[in-house]
Amino acid sequence: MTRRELMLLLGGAMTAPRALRAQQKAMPVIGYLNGTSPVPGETSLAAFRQGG
Amino acid sequence: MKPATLRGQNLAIEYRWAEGRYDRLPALAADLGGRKVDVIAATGGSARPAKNATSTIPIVFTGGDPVADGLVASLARPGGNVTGVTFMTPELTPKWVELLSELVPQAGVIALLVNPNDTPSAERTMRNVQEAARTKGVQLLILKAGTESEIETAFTTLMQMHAGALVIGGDTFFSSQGNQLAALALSHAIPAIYEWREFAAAGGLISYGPSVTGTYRRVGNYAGRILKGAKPADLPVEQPTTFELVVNLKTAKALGLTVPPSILARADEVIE
Repeated sequence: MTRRELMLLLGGAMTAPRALRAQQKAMPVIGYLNGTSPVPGETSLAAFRQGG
Repeated sequence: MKPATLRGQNLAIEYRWAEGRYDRLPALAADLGGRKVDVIAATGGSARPAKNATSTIPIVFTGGDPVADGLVASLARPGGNVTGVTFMTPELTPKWVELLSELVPQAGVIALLVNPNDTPSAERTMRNVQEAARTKGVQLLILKAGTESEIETAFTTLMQMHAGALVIGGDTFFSSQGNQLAALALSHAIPAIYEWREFAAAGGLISYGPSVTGTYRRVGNYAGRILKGAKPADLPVEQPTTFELVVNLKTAKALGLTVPPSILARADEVIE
């Protein structure tokens, strides 16, 4: 491994957690509002998450 | 927050359930608005409170008549931050009365049960069913219930008034009470129709309407597309195109009803 390759590898290792954190922060959030309760609403919710 | 996926996309879902208490919806919607979520899926009777809570966060709803309710400018071009999927069409309501008239031709009085806690929807249903009843030449008895005990009272009234059949107006709370409604209809020996298949599956006599899962899948589809950059203003409000007719023959037998072949031939599903 050349010095350049080692530096690239280390650099990658340093930036990876940062990139992961940025990705987590950017994870979208859906607000699921419903007039009923989770038990009867379960089937509908499963279909919603399928999103066909 | 639980990790979740929607159409394979990773995301988080913040759940807010009103537990059948529609008066809680405005505060729950305001809370989601304050958290600046990326999309609000306003399902089960929560479209109006969601719209009141935000004019910027995209909203995808399930609902009855979004134009009449002032949620969108038009179905084809919603225009604002709101789009969604309806589970009603104007043709649906007369069908409920027609099906009941075919099943119980001797019924001179038909009862309609609505939930007064969802006023716009209840009023629309009352108007439409009233008109359908007039066309069919039957009297309509309107009953209102928003809690379990009010549902029980409604069935007592319905018997006292000699109603021969019952239309249950589409409502999220009623959907969550499918077992109670089916059991009460059976114990009061009253033939009843409801919009959703789940009612017939729970022992109700008959259901006619779009599919619940089909509707919610479309809402999920729109939510996913909005997360990928689509604008609600450009996504036409979808209307159901297919309706399922489900007949519970076991319940029909218990009620002493003969289901005419014309209905059986049209049924998408017959529960025996």
